Amino acid sequence: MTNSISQNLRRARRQWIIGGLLHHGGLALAAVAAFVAFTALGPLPTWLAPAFGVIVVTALVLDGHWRPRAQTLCRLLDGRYPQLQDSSQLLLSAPESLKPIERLQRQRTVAALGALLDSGALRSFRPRWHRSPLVNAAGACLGLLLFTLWPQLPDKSATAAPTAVSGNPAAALAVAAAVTQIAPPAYTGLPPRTQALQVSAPEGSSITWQVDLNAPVDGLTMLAAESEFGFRTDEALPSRRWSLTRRVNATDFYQLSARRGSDDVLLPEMHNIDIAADRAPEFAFRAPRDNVTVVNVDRDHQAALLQVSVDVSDDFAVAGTDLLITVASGSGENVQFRNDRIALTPEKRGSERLRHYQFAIPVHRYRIEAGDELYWFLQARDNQAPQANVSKSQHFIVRWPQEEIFGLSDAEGIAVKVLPEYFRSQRQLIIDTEALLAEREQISDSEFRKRSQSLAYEQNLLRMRYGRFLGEEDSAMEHHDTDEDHGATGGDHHDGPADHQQHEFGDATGVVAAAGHQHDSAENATLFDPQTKELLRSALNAMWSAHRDLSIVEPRASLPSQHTALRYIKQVQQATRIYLQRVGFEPPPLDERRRLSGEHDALTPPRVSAARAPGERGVLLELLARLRGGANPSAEDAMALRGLSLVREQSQLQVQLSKALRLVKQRPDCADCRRELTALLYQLTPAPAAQPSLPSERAAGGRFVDWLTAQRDAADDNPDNSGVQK
Amino acid sequence: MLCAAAATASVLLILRARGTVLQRIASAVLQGAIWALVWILWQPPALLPPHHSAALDGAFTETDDPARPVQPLAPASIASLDFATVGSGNRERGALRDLPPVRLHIVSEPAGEIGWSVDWPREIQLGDALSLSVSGDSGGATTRVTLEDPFGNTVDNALVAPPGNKARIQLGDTPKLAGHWLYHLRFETGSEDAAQVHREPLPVVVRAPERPAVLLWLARPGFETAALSRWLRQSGVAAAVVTQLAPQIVRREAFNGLDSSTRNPLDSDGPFDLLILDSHLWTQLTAAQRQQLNDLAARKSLLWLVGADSPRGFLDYARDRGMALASTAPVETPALVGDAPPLLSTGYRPVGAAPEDIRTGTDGTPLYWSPGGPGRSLGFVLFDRSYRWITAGFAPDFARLWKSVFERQLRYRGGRTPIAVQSPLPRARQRLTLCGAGFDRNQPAPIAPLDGSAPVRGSAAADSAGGPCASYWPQRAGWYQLEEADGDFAFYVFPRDAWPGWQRRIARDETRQMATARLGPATDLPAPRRPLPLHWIALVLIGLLALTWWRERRSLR
Repeated sequence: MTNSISQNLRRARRQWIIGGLLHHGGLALAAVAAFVAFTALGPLPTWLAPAFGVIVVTALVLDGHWRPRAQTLCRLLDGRYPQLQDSSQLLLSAPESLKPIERLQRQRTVAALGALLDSGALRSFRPRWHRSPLVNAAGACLGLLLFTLWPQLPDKSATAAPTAVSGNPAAALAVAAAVTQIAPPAYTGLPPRTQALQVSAPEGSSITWQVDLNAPVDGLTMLAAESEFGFRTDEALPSRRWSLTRRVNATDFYQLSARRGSDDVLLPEMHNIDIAADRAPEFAFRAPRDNVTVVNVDRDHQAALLQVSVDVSDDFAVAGTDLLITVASGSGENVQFRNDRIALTPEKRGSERLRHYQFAIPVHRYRIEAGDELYWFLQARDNQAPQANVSKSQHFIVRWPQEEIFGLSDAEGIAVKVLPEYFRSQRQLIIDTEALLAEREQISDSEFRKRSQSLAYEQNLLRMRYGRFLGEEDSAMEHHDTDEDHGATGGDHHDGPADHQQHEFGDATGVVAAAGHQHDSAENATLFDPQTKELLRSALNAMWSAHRDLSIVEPRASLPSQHTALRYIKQVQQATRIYLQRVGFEPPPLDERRRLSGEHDALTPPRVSAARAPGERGVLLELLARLRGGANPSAEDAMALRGLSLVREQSQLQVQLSKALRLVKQRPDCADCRRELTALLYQLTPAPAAQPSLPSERAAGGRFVDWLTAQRDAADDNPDNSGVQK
Repeated sequence: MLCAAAATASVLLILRARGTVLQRIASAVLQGAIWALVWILWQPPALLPPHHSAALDGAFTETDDPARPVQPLAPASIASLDFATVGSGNRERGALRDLPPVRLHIVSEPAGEIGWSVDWPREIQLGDALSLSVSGDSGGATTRVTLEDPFGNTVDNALVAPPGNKARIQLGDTPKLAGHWLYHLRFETGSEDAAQVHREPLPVVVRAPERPAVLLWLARPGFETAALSRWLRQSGVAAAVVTQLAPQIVRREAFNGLDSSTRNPLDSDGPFDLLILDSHLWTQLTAAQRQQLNDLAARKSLLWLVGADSPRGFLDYARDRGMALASTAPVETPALVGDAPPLLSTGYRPVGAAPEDIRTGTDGTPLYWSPGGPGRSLGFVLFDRSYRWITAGFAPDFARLWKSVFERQLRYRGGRTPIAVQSPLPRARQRLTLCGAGFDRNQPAPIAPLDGSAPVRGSAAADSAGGPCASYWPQRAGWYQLEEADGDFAFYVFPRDAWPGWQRRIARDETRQMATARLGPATDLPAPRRPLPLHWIALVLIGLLALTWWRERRSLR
């Protein structure tokens, strides 16, 4: 009996414990399920699952409800089941210790308990699921979960701001589909193609936009950089499908703006239109290499010098190339010019994009005499329609040297007439030298040497011709056979002394030329005053230095000397001007008594108070300051920016600047837009030049010697100062 | 006392509780042990034996036994060491200087550091060029170094390609705005597909130039003075140009708002900071004006344009001032800059001049002489034809040439005493030492962050050659300004992880320097023992508390 009572009580206790543990198990399962489910919302820290376990285990340990003691168990049974008649406690006592009435009640309780167990009424005998340890543990798990999830929740306070400037919900309006059909100009020969809203096309292309919106609108406009274009539709308004055709000649960008009733909705995305400009033809000369070619009237020796070989290239097609010739005949004030234009025929081996021309300068067409010059250049045009691109090549000069300028009967006293033609030569030498230096990287060393020595030869020729103005004694040392081959210039300076030797020993005139003066000869008389002669001699010295540097293939070192020679020559030119008295005007004689005796007090020379102009830098600095201060650029600022020289010259920069200005205007609160515009303006700002300024820091107190000197000076000034020793 | 009182209270409560004697004795002992541990936690006793050597590494800890957990070294413990080794974790001068006397040994030298350092002027004036020199070790990889301006635009770059690992490259830019700017150097190492990119800050203070007032007094017009006058006007300098062909024939021009109504340009109370005079003007100066020249050279700055055929009186004046000039033949000097036209010396050379007071051309021809001192700012310009630089396309070089002359003349008229930042790389939460002649030793001026945060107060530090010093510990990176009366001085504090290679280089160099300078410990100090580790005490305390809870858990229900 007693065993059965104990067994029944154990069964009841077991039922209670199982029920209690199930609650804890459910809590654990719920925590695991919540962890797995909320992982989908965002990454959860790895420590969260063990923390849940700790909480559940702690609740299990601290929860005493699921493991009651015997008395508590009996009390719980009495409370749940009235059949036990609050007498379960009697089951814990031994029957011998009970009174008869208690013993009787005990038996009834045993039977009731057994009946309850057999009927399965104790299946619901379990602690409450909402007891405090479980609730606390569930609350702790939930709180911990919310703590980790809170930062990942979307910010409900941030408004879903529409991108439209007007504030309308532009997110609802978007481009569902867009196709651009690009038809390049016919002359390019390029096939049509299609692209999206970002367009890249050659210059002059006809571009057709076909835009399908996701909602019908009453109008659609393209907001380009400088202008607006309206789309059209073939459907009834409001319509989803719009189209626009434009011919675009310059790089641009655009936005789309739709009209709904009276509201304008801006689609803020910007799209580029990149236009590849049609470039003008370009020239690549293989011959001649020098801009100036000196030839003889004798045609047998000049054929090789007059050959021209050039390649003309264009990005689409070279339509034609012409040779333009100008012949200058005569000298002094009797120079006559003849112009001619000859269409060139390309060689067959080329293509439309690359034409090869090989021809000779047709000097036989003109009556060329010594002293004449022929200027020629090429002019090419491409096939751009309607207006072709025309480009001109560099200018070339073919020169026939004049053999002798003295010996003419009318040469006396009119040296001014012959001087100007040589001024051009020194300047042209400088141009040719700079051109040679510019092409240094593209040509071979031997070619560079050859051209440098060619220039040295010409410089030497020029120097010898100027030397004749100083009289025979200066030019005798520099006499040179001008019939030598133009290319064999390396031995020029060696032939000079040899030539001199020949004159000295084999020719009587050479002896006179070497040892004597011929001032009584009209042709050799010095025509200038001593000061002008000095200038001319300085010019000769400079030409000699230039010739030396060019001979040793140092053209860069010769440039300063060439500039010096040119300067002196210009001064000689100034010195040789003749001032004639005007006829018919007799000025009154000077009154020496009144000279320099005027009253100066009445004179008020204007006070020049000038300030520097701010320039483009000032404009940009002012705009930068306002932009960084938070102000938005105005329309006047935009116009001023477009007027900057750097912006005017670069179309890409214009587009970039327009885009940045528009972004700042449309999105005043966009910090990135403002930063980009500021960076662009900073890039455009010219760097400041070095300016006079006071130092921000005082220099140290000078050298120790200065300090000593100062101490000594102070002691000299105050000899009674006992603190200073001499 | 608190622990004792609490322990006594606990024991009394236990004695009054129910239970057997043995239980109460056990509880009392347990409570006593708990309170004893609490007291030990607060005052850990030094029971562990001292170290004889330690390695200063990483976080300033002792690592002589790698198996033991690292613990920070107390200063007294360091003082008891025979020596401390410095391995790979080199320390900076400030940290080593704070150590108690202990001999340092460097046990390992890094084989080769991969990293970059840069040398650049922290402060320049608007219009000056910013030139920086980047040196370092690319580690055998191709590295592209790019200089970015404060707005992110690329202004210069250079490529460092192998085989040379160590490289020194020059980069430059001309800042366009005055202010505090943060340039950046971007290092891209490796191939384009797998390039490692990192950026380092490069702070520069660009000061707006404080323009002086200049007088240009000529005896005759000329190209040189016309070019100089034009440069002054275009630079925005308040200038007056007086051309005096004869005592009664004077033409005056005033630029940029200067009042040219002053009749006597040599008035010492006049508005001019720099007076440029033509040497040919000497014969037109009165005796009183010649007397005023001495005062002007002392109080302001006097610059003579010594022209060819200068009057005898002027040469005597120069000799009397200790700046005798000897006549020579005018010569053209070779180009100073690129292909610029040569300058022409005016036919005079200094006599007895110190080399540091003369600026010469490339061939040694004297061009400018200014010995000067704080009370004597006198200079002679001995060249001509610099105006040709403008027409030849070298206008910026013309401006720099004359700016260098003006800087030399006006060097004693600056506003602020120099202030030096002792550390080449001041970083957040590191010691920062500033030195300046105007510092107050008793109360150093605080430094204020430019972002508006609270100022950082400093403490006096040992004087240096530049004057009194003060140390600060700024907690955050950014721009700071020293608050002082005679002007602002701004500097930048780098983030702690900025320029890692440079930091290592600085630490290595300073460690090596300090290691050779530090003294050994005093031998008569007793070696202090080490305290018990706190975490073990805490662990035992927690265990006793858990035991207490376990025994009394029933009463908690």
